[in-house]
Parts: sequence; structure tokens; C-alpha cells
Amino acid sequence: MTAAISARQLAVTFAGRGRAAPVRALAPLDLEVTRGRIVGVLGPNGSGKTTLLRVLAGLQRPVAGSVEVLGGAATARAVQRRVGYQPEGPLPIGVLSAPEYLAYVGAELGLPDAEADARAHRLLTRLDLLGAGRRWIGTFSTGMQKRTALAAALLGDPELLLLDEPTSGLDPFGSELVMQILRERKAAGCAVLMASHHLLEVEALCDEVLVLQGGVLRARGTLDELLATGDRALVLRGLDDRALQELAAAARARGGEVVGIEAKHRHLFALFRRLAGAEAAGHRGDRDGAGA
Amino acid sequence: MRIGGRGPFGLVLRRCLAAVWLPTLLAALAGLVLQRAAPPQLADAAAATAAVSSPWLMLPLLVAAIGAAVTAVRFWPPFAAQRPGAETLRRLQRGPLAGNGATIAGALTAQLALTSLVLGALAGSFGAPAARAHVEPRPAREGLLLPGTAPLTFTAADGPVCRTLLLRPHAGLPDGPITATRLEVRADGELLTTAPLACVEDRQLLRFDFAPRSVHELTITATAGTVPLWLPRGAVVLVGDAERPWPLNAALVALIGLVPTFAALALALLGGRVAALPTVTTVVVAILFVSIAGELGPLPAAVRALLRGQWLPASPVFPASIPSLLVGSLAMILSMSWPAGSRR
Repeated sequence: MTAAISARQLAVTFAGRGRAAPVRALAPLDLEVTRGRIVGVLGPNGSGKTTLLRVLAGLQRPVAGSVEVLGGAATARAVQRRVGYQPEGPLPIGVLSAPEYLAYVGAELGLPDAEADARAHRLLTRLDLLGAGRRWIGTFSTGMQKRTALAAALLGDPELLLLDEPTSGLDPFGSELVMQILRERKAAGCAVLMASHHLLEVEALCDEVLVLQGGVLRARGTLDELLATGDRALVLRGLDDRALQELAAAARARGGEVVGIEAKHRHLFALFRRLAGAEAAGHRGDRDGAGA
Repeated sequence: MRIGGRGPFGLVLRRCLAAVWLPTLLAALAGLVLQRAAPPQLADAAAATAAVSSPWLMLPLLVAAIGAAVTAVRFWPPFAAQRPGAETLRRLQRGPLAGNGATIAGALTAQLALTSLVLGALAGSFGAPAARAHVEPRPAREGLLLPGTAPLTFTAADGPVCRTLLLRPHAGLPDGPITATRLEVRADGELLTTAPLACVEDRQLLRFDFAPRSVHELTITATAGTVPLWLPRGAVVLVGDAERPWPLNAALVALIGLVPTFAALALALLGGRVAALPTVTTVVVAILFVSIAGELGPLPAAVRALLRGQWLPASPVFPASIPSLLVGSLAMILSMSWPAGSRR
């Protein structure tokens, strides 16, 4: 499979202000991302995640090394139009409605008006933004702005997605929706490189992970490679404590180690979804009652 | 949903019109009321007629220019390169100007639309006469005009058909008692008027109409009096007979009004590579205020010409706007050649 991103000894240094020493943002780094994979970039603030994305988006020139994006230079216009980039931070023009903003992005991507409008409508529907109507995107909540930015990144039907904190500020449903969309893009052969602080989401979504710290690549690999412990879990239901102790003793007798016995609870998201579902049903009931 | 004007030009044009039309309208109404409430005090109202303007017509023009420029600067993040979203737009935009040229053009078009309407609607209310070509005949020689000195001759190359003569001589102090100097004016040898023409004050306006005729050569002779007169370039003006469309004249003034805005926005674009949005906005407002209210730019002269009934294409107002145009163009070129986004 052809590489969507191929970087060799890529390094970025920012000139220091005044007499300050230059700041190394990225130490020489090799990177290869193939199509149809989602790669997460993790690391504390200032670790070089955003810098890496900006280099790949063609916004930052590296001081050393080489980088190829979709087989061309990251700064080439033809390449940039095939790459969807969602930067962190607010949307650029706050006094446009979401359809106007997407129409602008579509025009700059060279899409015919009708095609851009159709794609925008599909994306706004999918990302639950149609209800915002003609509201200015500057008045949107953080989550709505994030979803609008994702819609803009997806508008050109890109072959590579570069996403900087795509789910920060989103509610659990929004995060789930974004993750679902990214899985679909992956299935369609799109490569995704996303920086995130949401470790659980990265774990649930990414095929591979890079861990940066101070601009240096500290770890990389698939989740299995990085996280596998060799432990296996047996989840039981319907046994009391005494029965569990007997099972543990049997396990020890067979040479195993019992790491712990703990009550398993559901993920908070399940509770969130159940409560939100009940509330929605309540509202429906209220409306039905009012209608009757 | 049908969305028109998708590029920066259409977006900025729409935004500027939406944001600035009401302030411009209010400023125009305020200007009209103030002009009525505080009319200019004239020593010789009959001679001055529409040549006198009050400053209030400048008010809506100033508001439209500042409003359109500030709206564009606030709308388009690349006017302050470090602003969030600026690099996103730079990445999206095509062409050497990366959308900045289209943005400036959008703001200028909005200003042109608003100021053309204001000038078209208000020029008559402010006393602007019909537009006519004003021709400055060239003096054959320069010299003082006194009884006994040689007449001064002025030539108009094309022999335009004229109907009015404006004289605004510089006056000196006589050796003896002050007596108004009487003048006689001939066009191609024929006396233009038998009405008395006497001048005693410096830059006193002498204006008279005559039957429309072609004028190739004007001869001015001092026949009596003691006040020495000097007629430098611009002191003798022939007013053409043909009436020009005043809406077009008003539109030309509006066009000249774009020059300072262009220069201010181009400088803002350049400064915005390093400065933050509040600084850029302040600079734009200051440039426009000094240029329009402080009369450093070409717009006030153009408005005066409009209110004096001067046909703009035949006036020196256009050449006067060249320096501002050059400053703006230079700033645009520098901002194009200064790559943005190289610093984080």
C-alpha cells in the first residue's frame, strides 16, 4: 500500500526571540503513514504534535529532512487540496454561517457550487449542524465549532486527514460521532493522523501511535506492540465472593497469578447515553401529551 | 440554500455593505442637518455660490471609508498574521495575493457603492452646480499687472467653448493709496464683458459669464487702479459650456475616495505581518482620518471640485491621488514578497 506520508529525518527549529536560544520543536524524525490507517500523535503540551501537523499541512517549513505527502511536496497546492487539515483553535471567519463557511471552503478547493453545496449539506446533516441555520459560527459552542472545522476538512473528500485535537471540547456523543466518521474515512482508504490528549479515544480509534516529548519521538508502534502485557481477563457474572476465591485458588494451583478481583462497571458513556436517551424519551412523551 | 459570492471578494463586499450602510446613512443625515444648521459664512455669497462647501459632506465619506476598511480588517484574519485562523486561510487561498487582493477589492467596492450613493444624493443638497470642464489657460509670461504695464496673455490650446471666466489674482501692496485695479479681459481680441472688473483684495474671486464661445487666447489688461496683481498658474480659469453628467462626476469623486482606503489597507496588510489586530485597526483608522479629515489625501480636493462644479476628468485631482496610489501599491508588493507564516 502506498504511503500517504513519508518523512525522513524531519526536524523543525524555531528561531529564538532576541538573544534567546533557538527552540527545537521537532528532533529528526522518520515517519511513514500508509493509506487506510489512523495514527495517533500523543504527547504533553509543547511536545511538537501541532508542529508536526503544520509541517505536513504545508504551513511550516522543516529546517532539515524531507517530507512527502501523497507523493508530493507538502507545500504544493495540488497536494494541499487533497489533504484535509483541521487546526486547533477557533474557526477563521466568525461572521459567516456554517453553510457560508463551507461554501467559501468549497470555492477555494475548486469545487463546483452545486457539488460543494451538496457535500456541505450532507456533512452538516451528519455532524448535526443543520439546526444552527444562519447563526454565525463565531457564536457556536466549542463543540459546534469543532464539528464545523471537521466538516470543512472533509469537504474536499481528502485522501489524508490531519486533525489537531479533533474531539477536544466535544460532548461524548460528538466524540463518538467524530470517531465513527473517522472510522468510515479509514475504511474508504483515507489516512488519518490525529493529535490528541484523549487517550481513551486514541486507544479506541488508532491503529498506531506516536508518542512525542520535547520534540523527540519517545515511542511508536501499534497499540498491541505498545500496550500488550500478556495478561488476559476473565469476566464473570453471578458468582459470590466465596466462589470467586475458590476460582482464584484454582488459578494459583495451575501456576497463574491473580492480579486482582474487582467489580466491573460500565463505561460512563453508557450512563450518559442512557440518561440522554431517557430525557429525549421524556421530551417526546411531553410533546405527545401536549398534542393529545 | 443558494449562496452567492463565495470567494473573499463577495464575502467581504457583503459584510462591509451589511455593516456600514447604516452608519453611513446616519452620518449623511447628520451631515445634512449640520450643514443646514451651520451654513458657511460668506463675505460675498453671490460670487462664491457653490464654490464654498461646508465640511459636513466629508462626514459620511469618512464614516464609509473607515467602516469598510475596519470591517475588512476584522473580517479577514490575514490582516493580522498571528491571528487564529490566518494560516488556515492562507493555506486555502490561491494566487500570489492569497485572497488579500480580493478582500481589499471587496472593501473598496462596498465603499464605492455607498459613497457614490451618498455623493449622488447629497451633492445637490450641498449646492453643487452642474459639472463643467474647468480649463486653466497657460500664461505666455508671468508678470505684475498694473496700469501701464504690458497686458498678460493666456492661451488655451484646444480653444474650448466656454461660458464663464474665474479670476483669482494675488494682490500686492501699492506704493501709494489703495485703489482697486480695474481689469479688461479680451478673448481672441474681443471684449468678453463690459461689466466692471475690479480687484483690491488678495485672491479675490472675480467671476463673470459671457455668451458661449470658443476661446484660444485671453488678454488681461489693467486699465486703472494702484493694486499690483499677479496671476500665477491656476488664477485664471475658463469654465466650459458643455454640461457634464453630474452623477458620473459624483461617482468619480467616490472613486478617488478609494485611494486612501486602498493605501491604508495595503499598509495594514504589510504591518499585519508583525502587528496584532488592535494595532492594525488603529493604524488604518489613523491613516484614513488624517487623509480625509486632515486633508492629506486627494478626497477633500475632489469633493471641493465636485461642489465647485468642476468636471473631474479635466481637473488636477486625479494626478494628486498618484502618491497615495503608489504608497499602497508598494505596500502590496512588499507584503506579497514577505512570506507569511514562517514564524510560529
